[in-house]
Amino acid sequence: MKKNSFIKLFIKNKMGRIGMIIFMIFVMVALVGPVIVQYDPQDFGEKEDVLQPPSLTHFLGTDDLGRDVFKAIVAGSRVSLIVGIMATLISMVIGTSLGITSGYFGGRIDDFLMRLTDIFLVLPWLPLMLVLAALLGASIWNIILVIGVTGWAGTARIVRAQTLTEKERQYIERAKSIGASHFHIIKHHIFPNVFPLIFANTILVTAVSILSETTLSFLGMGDVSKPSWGTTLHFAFESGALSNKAYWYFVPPGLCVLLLVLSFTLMGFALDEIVNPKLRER
Amino acid sequence: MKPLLKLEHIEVKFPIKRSLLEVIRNTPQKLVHAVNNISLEVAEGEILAIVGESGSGKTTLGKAVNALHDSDVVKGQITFNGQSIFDSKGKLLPEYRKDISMIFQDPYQSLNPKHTIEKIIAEPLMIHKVTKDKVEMRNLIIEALNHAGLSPGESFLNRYPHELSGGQRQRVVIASALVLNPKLIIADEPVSMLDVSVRSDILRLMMKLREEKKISYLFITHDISLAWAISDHIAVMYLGTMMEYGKADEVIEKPLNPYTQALINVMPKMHVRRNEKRVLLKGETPNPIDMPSGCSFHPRCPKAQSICKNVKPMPDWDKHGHMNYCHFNEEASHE
Repeated sequence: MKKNSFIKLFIKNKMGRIGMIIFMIFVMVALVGPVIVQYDPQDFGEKEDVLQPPSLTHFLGTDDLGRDVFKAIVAGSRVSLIVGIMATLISMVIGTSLGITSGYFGGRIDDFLMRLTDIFLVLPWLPLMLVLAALLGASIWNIILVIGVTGWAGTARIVRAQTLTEKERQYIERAKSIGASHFHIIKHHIFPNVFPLIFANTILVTAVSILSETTLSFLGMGDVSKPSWGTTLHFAFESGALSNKAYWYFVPPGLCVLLLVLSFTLMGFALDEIVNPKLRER
Repeated sequence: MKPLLKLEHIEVKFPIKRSLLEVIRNTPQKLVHAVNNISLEVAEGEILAIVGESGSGKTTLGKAVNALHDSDVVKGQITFNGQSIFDSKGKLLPEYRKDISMIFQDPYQSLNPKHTIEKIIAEPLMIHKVTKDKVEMRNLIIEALNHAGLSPGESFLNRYPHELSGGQRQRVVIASALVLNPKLIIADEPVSMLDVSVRSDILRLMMKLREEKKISYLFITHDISLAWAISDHIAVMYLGTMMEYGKADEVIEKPLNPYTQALINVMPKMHVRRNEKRVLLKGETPNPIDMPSGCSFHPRCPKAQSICKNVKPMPDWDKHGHMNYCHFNEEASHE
């Protein structure tokens, strides 16, 4: 498949287009937003600023400490995106390398790596993440590490399955008969042919990673100095914004998480359709 | 002529995976007897055809020569240019891969769809680090393409396999086999997936390369008439055993082995005499896991006697170098 037709197919796909637009808006906010609106989590407001509904001065109202909710959300978009993408990168690197190794070499290596994958698949990931996050301490890099290290199992399975079909192709045998090393075959034949699948999977894993970050932060494992949407939700819950009916405090961050995850899911579905020609609409 | 490739007592046996229950019960390990005790020689510039039905082990033998199997399933000695292809530690000599090349059956499957023709043909050069100079490498690639009948070679460099026809793809495969100047090409059914109109072109190309470059071929095919047309010697295989070996004309015109006779009987002929009875083989090739006792061909052999069931025949070589693997050897054919 040529690159041009790939992009064309993606833009032609309605889900892909909508997902892409939402994602782009969030990327723009994350890139430009914090430059325009500075947010300092230590900048507590006066007593009369506490839990104010939306107004002209405070676009989305204020929280229980008198801080601007809109500014918090703009700042949080950067944290949520960075954590989501970096954690996904980690789990993709782990999942892809284990999946390809397992599928390509087979035998005992395959058995061992797949049992390891099974363990990570059946482990309840939320308690595991909580324990790891609590052990490592609350910093943004630890959160990234924890999400990345717990989220690779599904990817490893998918990549292994695809590697198993790829390695039986005749051009692999041809490469072997020429005298190609394992590394050469994986680099030039297996990986490029598995890559489209990895890419489509990456998008879906990113959605899960962002959701995991929100969950961890909501449960209070987040980095308070770099508040994400999850952290904002956490404080909203702690301060009783729900019972005070301060909807401006908890609805916007929740909605942002929803939209961002939705955008990744839409893009993932669109890519899935393009990568699997069987699903493609004619 | 001195032999370029010498196979001595080659055996390929694949173990069958046992279930856990079988391991616990300690049932004996079953083996697929793909190739049994094959000894062959290929001289310089010679074409040796290996003929057999599907499942006769001819592809497995080709792969064994190409050292593509795990080393523990192959037994026997492979000598190339007077030197064993494995060193004392059992590692394959790196030069061997440069001296042999393989052409596969399906030109649609044997080229990576994501690579350009240039990249495909450059691959052997890259792996064997022939040259680092890009211009030189490109010239070698263009030369190989021209040799393989894809001229001008320059116009093919940036194309992808799916842009080419089946015959052109097979020429690309041949070009990438040629680029290292091999001494032996193992051709596994190289024309069986091609249109009849393209077949003769590819065969003619392979013959031309033999004349020009003194390349030997191990030509694996199920088509005995094709083997007759192109090869110097023919080896007929059945269930991993070599049934008959000899000069191509002799094997076709005076077949000694009942199996070869049956194969030749089903060859299309220009004039069929109405009263002629054709000997057709019944049944299918037996399972190579539970090999028939005695001669492996006896369950289907029209001449089978009780001795065939119980005793393995000995390969019988006559003074013309014609081998027959059968208890009933009619010597009368060479007067």
